[in-house]
Amino acid sequence: MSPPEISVLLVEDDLMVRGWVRLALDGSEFRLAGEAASTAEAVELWRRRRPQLLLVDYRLPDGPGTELVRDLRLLGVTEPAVLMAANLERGFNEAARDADAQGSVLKTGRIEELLQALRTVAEGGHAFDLRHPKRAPGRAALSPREREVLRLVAGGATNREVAAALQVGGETVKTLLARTFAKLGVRRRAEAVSAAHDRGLL
Amino acid sequence: MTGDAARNDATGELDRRLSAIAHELRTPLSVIIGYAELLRIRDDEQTRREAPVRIQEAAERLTAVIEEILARPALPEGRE
Repeated sequence: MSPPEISVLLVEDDLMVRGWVRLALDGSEFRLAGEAASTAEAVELWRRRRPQLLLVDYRLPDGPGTELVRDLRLLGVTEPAVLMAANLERGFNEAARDADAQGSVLKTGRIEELLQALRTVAEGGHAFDLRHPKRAPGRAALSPREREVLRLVAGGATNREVAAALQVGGETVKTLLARTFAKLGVRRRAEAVSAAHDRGLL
Repeated sequence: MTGDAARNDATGELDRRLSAIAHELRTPLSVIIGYAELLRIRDDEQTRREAPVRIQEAAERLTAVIEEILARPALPEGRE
C-alpha cells in the first residue's frame, strides 16, 4: 500500500525552480497543494488549501521567507516549514529556527536532499542543512522588542518617533538600539537595517 | 563619514553584490543539475519531454546572467 499523500505549499517566485520542484515531487508521497510566488500569495493560498507542509524560498519579492513563516505562525499555522536558500548563508539555520521553521534545504538540485528534508519535518523532526555556517558567536537572536525597533528604524523613524510608537522613553530606545547593533555586529542605523534584511530578521 | 565607516560600507556593498550574483548563478545551475538528475534516475515520458527543454532554458539564463555581470562595473564609481 502506498503511503498517504502529504500536501505541500510551495512558495517560490522563480518559475524554473517551481517547475523542477513540481517534477521532483512527482511520484513521491508529497503532492503540491499550491504554488505561490510571494508572501502575500502564500498567506492567501494557505487559507484556501490548508497544506500539511510549507516549502518556502528565502528570497521572495515582497520579503524574506523567514518573515512569512513568522507571520504564518502568528496566524496560528503549526504545520512544519522548510526554508530554501540558493547560497550558503551565515546564520541561516538560526534565522530559520528563530522564525519557527523546522528545516532548511539548499537549492542544489539534489532530489534526495529535498525529499529527505521534507520527510524528516513531516515526521515531526528537524532537518537543518548543516552546511550553512553558524551565526557568529555573540550574535544572539533579536528579541521581539528589538526587532520592532529595527522595523521602525527601517521605515525611517527617528528615536523620538520610535519612542512614541512603542510608548517608551528615549533612553530605552537608545538602549534597545545599542543592544541590537551589538547583536548584529554593526555601528550605524543603515548597517543595522541592511544586516537585518540580509539575515531575514525583518 | 570616517575612513573606517566608508570602508565598511564598501565591503558590505560588495558582499551583498557578490551574494546576489551567486544567487543569480546558482539558481539556474541548480535547475540544470536537478533536471539532469531526474533524467538520470527516471524513465518516464514527462521527464524525458520536460527536462531537456528546462535544461536548455536554464543554460540560456545562465549565459544571460554571466553577460550581465561582465557588463557591470566591478565596484561602484568612485570606490577603489
